[in-house]
Parts: sequence; C-alpha cells; structure tokens
Amino acid sequence: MKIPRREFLRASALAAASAVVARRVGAAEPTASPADGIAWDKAPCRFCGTGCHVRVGVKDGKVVAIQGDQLADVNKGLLCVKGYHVGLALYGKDRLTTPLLRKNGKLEPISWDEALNTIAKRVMAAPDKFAIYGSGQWTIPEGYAANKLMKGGLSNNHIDPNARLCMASAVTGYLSTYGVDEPAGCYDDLDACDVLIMWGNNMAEMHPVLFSRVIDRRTRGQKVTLIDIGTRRTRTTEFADHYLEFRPQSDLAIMNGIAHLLLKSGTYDAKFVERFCNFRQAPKDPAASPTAPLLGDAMTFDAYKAALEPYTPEYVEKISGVPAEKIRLLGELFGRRDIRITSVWCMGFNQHSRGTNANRLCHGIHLLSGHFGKPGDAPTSLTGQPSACGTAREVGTLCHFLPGGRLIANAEHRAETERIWNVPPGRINAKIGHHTVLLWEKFCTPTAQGGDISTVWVQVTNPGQSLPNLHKLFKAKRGLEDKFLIVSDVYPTATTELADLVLPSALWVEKNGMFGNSERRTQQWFKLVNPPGEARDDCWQTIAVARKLFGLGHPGLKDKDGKFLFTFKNAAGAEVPAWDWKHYYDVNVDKALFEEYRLFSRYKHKDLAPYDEYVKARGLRWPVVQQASGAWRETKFRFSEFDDSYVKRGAGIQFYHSVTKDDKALIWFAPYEKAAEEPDADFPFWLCTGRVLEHWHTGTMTMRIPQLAGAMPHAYVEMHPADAAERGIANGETILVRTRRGQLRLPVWTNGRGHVPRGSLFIPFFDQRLLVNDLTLGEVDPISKEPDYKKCAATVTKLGTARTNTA
Amino acid sequence: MPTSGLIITLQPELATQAAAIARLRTRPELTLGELSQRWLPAALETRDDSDSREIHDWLTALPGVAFVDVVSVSFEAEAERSDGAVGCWSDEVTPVPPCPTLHHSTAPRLQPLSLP
Repeated sequence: MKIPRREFLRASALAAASAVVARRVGAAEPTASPADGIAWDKAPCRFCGTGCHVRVGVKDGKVVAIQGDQLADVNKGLLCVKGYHVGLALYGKDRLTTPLLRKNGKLEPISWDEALNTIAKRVMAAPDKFAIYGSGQWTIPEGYAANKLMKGGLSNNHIDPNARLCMASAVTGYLSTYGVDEPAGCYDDLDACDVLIMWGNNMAEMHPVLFSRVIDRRTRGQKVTLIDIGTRRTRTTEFADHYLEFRPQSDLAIMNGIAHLLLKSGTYDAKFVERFCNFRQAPKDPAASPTAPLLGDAMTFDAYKAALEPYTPEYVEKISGVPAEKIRLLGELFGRRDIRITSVWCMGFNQHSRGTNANRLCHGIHLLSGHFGKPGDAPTSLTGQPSACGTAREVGTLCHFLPGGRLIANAEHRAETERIWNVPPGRINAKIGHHTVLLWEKFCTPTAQGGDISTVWVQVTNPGQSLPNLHKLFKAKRGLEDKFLIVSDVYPTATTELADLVLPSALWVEKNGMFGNSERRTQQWFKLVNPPGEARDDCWQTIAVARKLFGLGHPGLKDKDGKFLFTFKNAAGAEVPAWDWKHYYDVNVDKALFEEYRLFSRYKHKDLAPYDEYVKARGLRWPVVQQASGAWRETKFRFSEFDDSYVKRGAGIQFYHSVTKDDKALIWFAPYEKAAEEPDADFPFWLCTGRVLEHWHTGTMTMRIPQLAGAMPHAYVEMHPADAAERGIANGETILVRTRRGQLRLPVWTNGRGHVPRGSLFIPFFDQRLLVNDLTLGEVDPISKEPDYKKCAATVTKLGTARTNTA
Repeated sequence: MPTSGLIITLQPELATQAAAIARLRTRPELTLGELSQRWLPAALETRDDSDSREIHDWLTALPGVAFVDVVSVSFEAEAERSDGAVGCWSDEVTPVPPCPTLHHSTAPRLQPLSLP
C-alpha cells in the first residue's frame, strides 16, 4: 500500500522523536518508519567539534532529510539547530562547480588539467616558497595526504592548519602538563559531575548538544551545579547557578586564587600531589631549545606555594572584579573530596595572549585538588571544528609536528616517519615551518623585503575572514604581483576574492571521510551523493598535484624504491591510478591512507583500530586496544587504571608520557599578566569576538541555509545600554567601531541575546560583509603562537556621514 | 511544507501535564506520540518557516511545557527544487524557523546594510 507523501513525512518525524524518547527511558525502540524511497546512512555532523552523528536521508541523489542518530553516544538522537539543517549546506545556489583562474583581474573557467599544471609549475619553480594552509575541517585522510606531500615529498614544513587559530594553546597546555596532547576524560564526565565549570565558554550556544546533555540531567531530578565564569552574560548564564564576571585576561589570577586557597586551607590533595605531580615554572631561557618553553624549569612545592602567596581572594578581586567571596566559593568547591568537578573551555582560554598558561593553570587546579581521573572529575577542552583533534593534532598537520605526536625537531621522530613513508633518510627537513600568523605575514610581505612565501594553497578554510588583523595578514596580498593564492572551497568566500586560482571542492557526504572529535573519538562516513559539476575531493586534488610534480620530475615524489608517493592498490593487488579522477573511487583511498596513518598511532598510545571497525561504529575513542578475543575496545578515561589498559596494575593513575619521565604530571605556576592591548583614553572599550548559535565559524555554509540566515541575518555589536545611552546611541542604530587596525559600521544590539558589561563590546565573526577581523589584534601566545581574538581596545562613534568600512 | 520531529519535555506535575497535552491536541499541525515519563514525541507540520516559528513560540510559552527539542527535519522540498538552490549571501530577510534555543529578542535590523 502506498503511503501518501505527507503522511509518510509525518510518520517519519514522529518515529524519530519516539525513538529518542524510548532511548531516554530505556524502553524498546519503536519500529522503524516505512522507507518510501529514502536511503539512510550515518555521518558525523559537518559543523563543530562536538561530533554528533546524524542520519542522512538520500533520495534521487540528493540529501532530503536529517535525523539525530539515536545510536550515537555523543548526541543520543538530538541535534542543534545547525545540525538538523546540515544537509542544506550542500545546496547553496552559488556552489563552485569548475576551476577558475584569474586572468586580467577576472576569475575565468579553466579545465582541471590546466589548474593542476598551474599549481605544479608554481611549486616546481620555488618549492621552498610554497605553503599549504589547511584546516581542522580537513578529513583525516585529506590532512594526512597534504602532510605527506609537504613533509615527505617536498621536504617543506610550511604547512599549518587553521587549528592554530583555535586549539594550539590547548595542545601546548596538554603537552606541557601530561607530555601528550588531548583530554584524559570524555563527554561521560558531563553525565557524572556534580559541578560543571564553564571557563569563558558559552556552551549553550557553541556546544548546545553537550549542554542539553547536562540540562537533561536536571529534568531527571539530578543535581548538577553550573558555574559560568565569563566576560559577558550569555544564554549559558541563564542556566547557571553562579555567574562570575571577570575583567578580560584576569582568568589567570582567578585560577591562581583557587590554588592559593587550596594551599592556605590545606584542602589540596596532598597524597595525589605527592604521588602524581611535579612543579614547574617558565624557563629562565626559553630560547635554550625548541622544547624549553614546554619543559619549563623545575620548582619545589615550597617555591610554588610562595609564588601563589600574593593571590589572596582580595587581591584577585582587585585584578578580576570577581568578588572575593566568589573566589572563596571556588576554592571551597575544589577543596571538597565528596563532589566531582568537570571544567570545560574552548576559545576563552585558547584565543588568549597567555593561552598556554591559562590551560596549564586549569589543569593545575584539578591536579592540585585531586579532581582528576574519576568519571566527572576532569579538565577538558572542547574544540570548535569537526576534526581539529583528528586531523590537525593527531595527524600532525601543524608546521612543527609529524603524525602521531612526533616532532619535526626530533631526529628519531623524523627517521621513524621516513621509515614508514619509505622515503630516503634526511628527506624530512629538520627546520620547523612557519606557523599560521607568520606564514600569512610572509605571504603578504613583498619578496624583496623578506616575504619568503610566494604561493599558498588554502584547503577547507577561509583565512580571508578568520585570520586576525586582516589588513596586515591577508588583504596586504593585493598588488603583490609575484604572490599566488590557490583556494579549494565549495562556495565563493572572502578568501576566494583575492584568489588567483579557485578549485571547486566536494563537501561532507559528497565524499568519503573521517573526523576526530573533542573526546578522542574517530568517526567515519561514506560518500552518499555526487558533488555538483566538476567539484572534486580535496584529497584527490592533493594527490593529483603530487602526480603532476612526479611527472615533472620532482625527486621528492618518489619513495626509496622509485615509486610514486601515493601508490594505491586494489583488492587484487593491481595499482589504481587514483590521481586520475575517473579512477579515484576505484579504490577506497581513505581506507588506504588511514591504514598507513594508523601505523603512527602507537607511539603516543593514541592507538587506532582498523578502518573497518569505524565503519561499524558511531566513532571510537582512542586508544582503541585489541583484546585477547580480537575485539577492539575504546578508552574513555586515559591514565586511570580502571579504564586505560596502558596503566600499570596497582598504579591507580599513571601519566605514562610524563614530561619528567617519572609518570607524574606537571603543575605549573604562571603569573597574571596584562593583556597585549588594554583599553585607554583613545580606545576605551574591550572588544571581544566569537560565534553565535545559528552560524558556524565564517558562515560560508550556514549563511546559505535560509532558515539559519533568516534567524541571524547579519553581524551586530553588543553594547551595554548605559554605554549606548551615554553616547546617544539607540538600539539598532548603526555605529562605527574602530580599533588601531581598522573600522567597521554595524548595528548596535543592547539587551539582546548576550549582555556585555559596561566598557565592553562583542561582535560575532560569521558575517562576510562585516569582517570583525579587520579590527582584531592578532597578538599571539608566545608558546602556542595562537592569536588572541578575545581582547583588544576599541572605540565607538555615533555615525555622522561616514559610510565605508575601510582601514 | 516543513516537517519536524519534536520532543516536548513537560513539567513534572501530572495535572499540569494533562492540561498541556489537552492544549497540544487542539493544534492540528501537531501529531502527538506516546508520553513516556516527562517526554512527549511529536511531529510538526507547518505551511512555512514563519508558521513554524509561530507555533514554536506558542509551544515554548505553553504552561506545562519545560523544553522543546527538535530531533529531525525534512527539507525534501528545498533539496528537490529544480535548480537545487537554497540560498546564498544576500541582504534578503527570510522568515525565522522553529528554533528551540532562541529565547531572546531577534537582532535589530533597522537599517539596510551596504556590501563592502
């Protein structure tokens, strides 16, 4: 019997909702709704780093429906407003469908062959002046292929991902505390904690599904105390039991204040500290070696205690504006052994001119208080991109990394990587490449003045909108005739506006892929629909360019045996010319690259399972360890004996990649230091930037989804009503916001969704027409090289006749 | 015609729940599933995004309703449009969708923006 279309859609929607409810109450799930020509498959969501799984409904070659995946532990059937519209990201009417080369100032269609030859010739002409700028949205195989091409093929380490702009300080925080990157805990901590502290983290809007997971506990009658520590009131604040509003940059002082109280009151966990921790401070000579800033100088417990002596609650109140009694509240909570505390953070700590220290201090108060290593007791960073962890950090696409946690600067690591890649000894350049900010600075500097990058290939990101201080780091490329910008993307962007060559890319389920989310979960999906026109996979583009270079005789594209660096074989053992698009899907290139990549994963105990295990699962959290039975077991809680099979029996907790080689973690002391630029008489406001619920990052996808663009159509500036009234500015009025780097006209929003304190402004960065990064500072953390997007000085002007957005 | 799957979380008091369910049954756009503990699955069919927004606002304001989560959405009509196009950068203002987490006033839009 044929079911009417409307009735079918209604039944499907009800079935999806009923299935989620059934899982919540532990009942048998309802029978699946009738198929009606829609084929369903799984995929992780394309947007943020939460790693929700969606069910993708495909009919007649198009994605027509999205459901939260009830089988996914991460989201348990729920999605956020972006997630349930993710399918529409494929169907913007201005998809790029053919390669475009700039000729006489205009982008003109060309063939793929001409595009590939153009890139290959640029690289051959100056291989050491070529750079790849990638992304935490690269799939794992895409990032791996680009990394291998650059470091293993071209002996060139000028490759860095945009994760430098969002997660680099989390990386240096983890490395310098535990000797290995990424969180010890996972999302299960959210289900077990008694107290959840959100440090500069608007979780309700930025990671809404995770926040729902916590709020859902309240609807079940569980008590969980939420503490929002931030610089502006957000939707997260509406749900918080305590809101601590601090002066920008003073989070460092707050964490020192907590440590001070733990020591003064004797409520720190002395046994935990004695067994599992050493103390560190900044090195006297940070330039002594590349790793000196991460290793630091040893300090005694007494010296640590003395360094914290000044951070009384009253002193911290003076610096931060947070009342002393609230600092005491935090100190008392951390001093309790009968509760479990989870800390989460994202860009608030990371995009910070002392981001590494902010991360270290947060780990430090958890270690000092023993709130670590039990479900619900964890310091955990959240990521903004779907594979910032999987691709940028684990594959090692940063300019100083090699795959699996290895370092360019380490000769043994280079040798081991060369062995796995089967390339001659010495192929990998020992000198680290340019980090993101330096890379773009060099690209935007005339060659004669030391601008040693002449060609940049951008994949899966939009630096023309997301870099800080755009006039200096991106727009200065204009007029530099010998500089050449290649951009692979799915839509025209602020970056393609300055591109010399544009390559149309496949998006999300238009290709095979793998991501790695915030909780060490590696996820896999298959291509479900075809990309439009001549759009092609980014991974194919990399391999095809590599093949052109091989054809032109670049010696780096051959391995030790003279074979092409990207040689793939089918099940019968025959070589498949995957560089030829006609044959790209004759073999599963993702699987082949992943199986090679996972050889790197054991060194730092980030063990990955075979590709086929991920096909069956909704992701697996590494280390994924094979059991005697042959089954593969994921690890939820690293370093804890009860769950991590790499911890020695009887150890309880073992930091087996300890910086100090004694299985202990490091508790760092770092002082409060002022921000790189603070308000003054000329620029009296703090300016903070960030995201909004409806839009993901630079809005290239979400602004093409009418439902999301309609809900949040353009950027705005949040301003305190009293600041606005003082200047005669009305809600909705367009004003001029100015910093030392640029200016921007945009409407004021007072008492809107977010509430800034007096003397502060907030502008989201999703709007291509209103580029807040024309204004931002771009000062980097000295260790992680991650820029601070959260703090600079600004001023506002009630508009007269000024009508343009220029520097 | 947008079709969404919803989970309506009701307040814990039984009397309030019953009253809320009675009111929910008056809306023809809603098809209700079986209540389990405090969670009521529902399918929502609306004429357009504006209609969705209106009923969503009604739902969240209804006494006895604690939260509304969206778990699925069908956009077959948009995806199957002959040119496959569902929007691009524009100053055009489009209606607001059902958006369970928007408990705030919408952003001001008082002056047209000029593109750089």
